[in-house]
Amino acid sequence: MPLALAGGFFQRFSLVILLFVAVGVILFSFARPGTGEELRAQATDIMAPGLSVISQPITSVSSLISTLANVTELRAENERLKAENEKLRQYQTAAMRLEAENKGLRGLLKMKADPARRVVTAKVIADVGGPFVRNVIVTAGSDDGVRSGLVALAEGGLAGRVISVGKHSSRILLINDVNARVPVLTEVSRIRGMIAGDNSPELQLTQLPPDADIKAGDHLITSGAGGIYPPGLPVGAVAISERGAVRITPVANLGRLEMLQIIDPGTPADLLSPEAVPGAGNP
Amino acid sequence: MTSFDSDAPIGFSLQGAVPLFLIFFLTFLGMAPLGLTDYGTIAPPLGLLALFYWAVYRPDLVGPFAAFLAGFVTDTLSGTALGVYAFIFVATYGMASGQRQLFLAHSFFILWWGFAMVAVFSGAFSWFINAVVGGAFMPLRPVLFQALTAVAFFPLIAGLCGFAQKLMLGEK
Repeated sequence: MPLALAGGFFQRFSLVILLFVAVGVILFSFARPGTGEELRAQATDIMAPGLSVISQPITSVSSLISTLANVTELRAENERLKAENEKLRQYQTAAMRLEAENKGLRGLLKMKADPARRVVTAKVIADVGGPFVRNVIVTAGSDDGVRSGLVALAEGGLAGRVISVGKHSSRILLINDVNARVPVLTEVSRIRGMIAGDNSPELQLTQLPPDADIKAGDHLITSGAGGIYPPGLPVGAVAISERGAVRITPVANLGRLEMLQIIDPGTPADLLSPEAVPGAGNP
Repeated sequence: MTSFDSDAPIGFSLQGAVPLFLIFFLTFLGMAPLGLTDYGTIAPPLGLLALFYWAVYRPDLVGPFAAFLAGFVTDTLSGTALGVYAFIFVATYGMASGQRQLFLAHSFFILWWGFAMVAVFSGAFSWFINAVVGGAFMPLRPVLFQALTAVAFFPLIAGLCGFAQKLMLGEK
């Protein structure tokens, strides 16, 4: 009996101690966020194989259900794809003509080619965060050449940025996270602004010039300002609600990510060689 | 329900690890991408649901240290401020094991109601701490939906844990 009483007291005492320890961890992570993130990256790396094993059958079942649901829509999907293919052929012709023109103009300006981008494709093994953060964990880490700051694409559109890296896994902060900011510009009119996330499926468009003429359907791409996101990556399209609120629908389906392409733009290089700029390179 | 003395010392056994395994397994499962659009925003921490069940029915097999570790794992994976879910899990263990006589003496609906209180506390506490850490108040609606999702999932998780208790631990 005394042993039993001691056991119960120990459990209650340890409960109180652990609550204080948890508060201490909260305060520590608030005061030293960098140390906390390193610890998180290492812990995530250890648990990533378990997440991968558990997510595999779920992803397979989800994919099977999606395939079965799509069977009934095969005919309509086929027609839609034929029409899209025809449109893409026209875009391809225009793109090839523009590429040749671009090449010629670069030659006239003696511009160096953009450095080739290396791409790492990674599977999403955890969709984590909940209501307060929006991020995912992927199966690519430092051993695969991933490093903090690289951008992640999904379905051809910007999805997020690598914020912490382990040896075999990485955490991607999605662009609809409340802490995410992406400098953008409209593809046609070249109006500059900033995309901000608010943990909802759509994005906010802020920091526009006072006389900016933004219309529904305008496409947004990364502007490259700040050097965090490479320029020219598709971000989303403008949608205007009935009340006139401007929201951005992302190109990437951020609520249903399965695979991400993490791009490494390589070592930044000067775009212009000295011969192209009068006086450049001279002391 | 089999009666036992929660203060009695417990020897280690594989069967005794079943609750811990379920809590950690469900923690991982709750974070797997289900392919449902925007489910991640309202996905409840499934490990918390299992912890509540075992803290009521077998607190001897899941101690406060295990609760702290499960909460810390949830913190680590979810990307929220470290320590938040560790606190929530330990507090949940304390509340559930402290009120277990009430829950055991009444129907499942009282247990479900008790968990609903835990879900509200969990949402409110994490919302407050994330507001302090982030320097801004987040919208309450996703938090509310996460709590509602957790309450809706509880019978399923409790059923799973009850089945495991019957099958693995040989208890009624």
